[in-house]
Amino acid sequence: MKKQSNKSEEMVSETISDAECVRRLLQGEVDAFEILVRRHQKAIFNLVYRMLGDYDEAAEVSQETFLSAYRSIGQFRGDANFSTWLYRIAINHASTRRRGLARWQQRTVPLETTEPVNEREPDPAATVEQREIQKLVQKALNSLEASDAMIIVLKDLQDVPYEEVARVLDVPVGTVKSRLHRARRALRSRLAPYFKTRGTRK
Amino acid sequence: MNCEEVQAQLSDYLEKTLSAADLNIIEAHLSACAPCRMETDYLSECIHQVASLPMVDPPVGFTQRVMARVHEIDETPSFWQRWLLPLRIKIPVQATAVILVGILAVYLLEKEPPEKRSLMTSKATVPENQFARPEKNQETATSKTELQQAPAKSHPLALSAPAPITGETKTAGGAKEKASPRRAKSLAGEQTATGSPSSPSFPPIGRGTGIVSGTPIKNAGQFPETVEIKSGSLRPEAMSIEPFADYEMVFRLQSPAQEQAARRDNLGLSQKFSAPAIAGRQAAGDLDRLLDVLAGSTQPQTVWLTVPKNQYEQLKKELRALGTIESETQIPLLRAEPGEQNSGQLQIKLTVFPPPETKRAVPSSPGDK
Repeated sequence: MKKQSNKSEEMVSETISDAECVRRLLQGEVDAFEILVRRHQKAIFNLVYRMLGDYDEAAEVSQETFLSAYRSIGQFRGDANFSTWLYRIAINHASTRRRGLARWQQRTVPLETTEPVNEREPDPAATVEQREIQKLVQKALNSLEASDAMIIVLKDLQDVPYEEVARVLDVPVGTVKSRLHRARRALRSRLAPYFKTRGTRK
Repeated sequence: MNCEEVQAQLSDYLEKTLSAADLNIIEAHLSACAPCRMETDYLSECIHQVASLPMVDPPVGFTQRVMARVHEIDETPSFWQRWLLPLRIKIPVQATAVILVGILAVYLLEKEPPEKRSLMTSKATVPENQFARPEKNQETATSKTELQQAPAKSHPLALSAPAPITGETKTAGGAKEKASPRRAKSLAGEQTATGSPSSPSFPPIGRGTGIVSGTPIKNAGQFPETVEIKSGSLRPEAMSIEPFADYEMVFRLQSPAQEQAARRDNLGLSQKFSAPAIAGRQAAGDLDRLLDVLAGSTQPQTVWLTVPKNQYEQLKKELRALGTIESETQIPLLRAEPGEQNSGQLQIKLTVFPPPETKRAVPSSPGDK
């Protein structure tokens, strides 16, 4: 097993394409999936984490995302990027979990007023003010519609090209742009108090 | 362009994806409109703040955990395979079994009707006790004595022995005995009473010229213990279906003396007949021995005979030598032509009545008739 792990790590360093990994995986080479996990785990985890605002939930949903991908790898069509397909799975899982969390939090505290729970120190080097802003932004993202939060995270945080976002959402690029603009304005309205205090401080 | 139209294009403006013309229009509007300028600043700040969010590392060991679960999933199909594999085997095996059962059912279905038709039955047409006679016990005692002397296995009525129709039969010890009607009856009773499993299989039918033959019955060669000839009746214990008869005959036996005289005259003919299965469950080597057995009974007996069509007249001739054919009825309605459905064989229902006045207790005494 150790030999296999080392081998997989070497394979990652060799930057085998996603398509090649999928092909090997379909041929029964399970270790090829490890390359895909290592390669995409950070993007998937951060997308889910920013959509949910909860580190532990994000870890669980990210794991479910990869396991779902593994189970249904036979349904993956080679004409799309593996990352696009994986994003789609992650968004579905995260949206489902987000609805569950929202229902749970509605019974306790309104979502937009909650602090991101289980938040680790994502950026130890950040100043107190920066951390405060990050918390506010995350809180604003939590308060958005899941689709709005997701499209902002994909485009503005992860800098996914419009074309790929369009493929992930299976909509035209123009639709992505208009949705993104609407989501940004929604986020800006959530962050209005912050801008006002900053403006007054300025 | 009003403020709303400008603000609708602020994302494109900030991303610098506008055409030069649109860019000039919006820049001109922003320079003149403070609210739109502020809105542009806020939106830009939003995009910047989101982009400034730090990328968080997944938990340590995330990949290992995922791969551990992946290996569990890999084992799960084998778990399913363990459940599905028997099905893959079971389904063809069960299908084969169903087909085989079907073939067997068709085979049995095709085999059954002739089997039922071939039942050689004997039917006591008179109730059992009506003709009960005082000497019954005495006869039973005799037959038991003789049973000890002559094992059933080697008895002349034990089907396979092509015994000559001389009235003498061969015992196990090779000694020759006179076969009287009473003797034959008792021996038949012995065989029936013992229910000997060692009784040989069905004898060669019509070993001579084969003009009278019995069709094998289901448990040919086995004598049910419940049939008791000594009681004076041949009561079938499992008679259910009567075979079709082409002819029904009512036949009355001669008295023993006349019979023996006739037998001497028609010895040649008698030897030709054999009716191995009579009275439903018992068997005899020859027609006259059959009649001997029947003569021992005080009740009418019904016997089914199968005779080649062209030998029918000869059979009648033979019967006339042994007794009187009191009636002969052809049953034409069942078949277009007698023997047609049985490849030239005639089914004859022969009802044998005992001699008019039997004095079988003294076989040597002459009969009245």
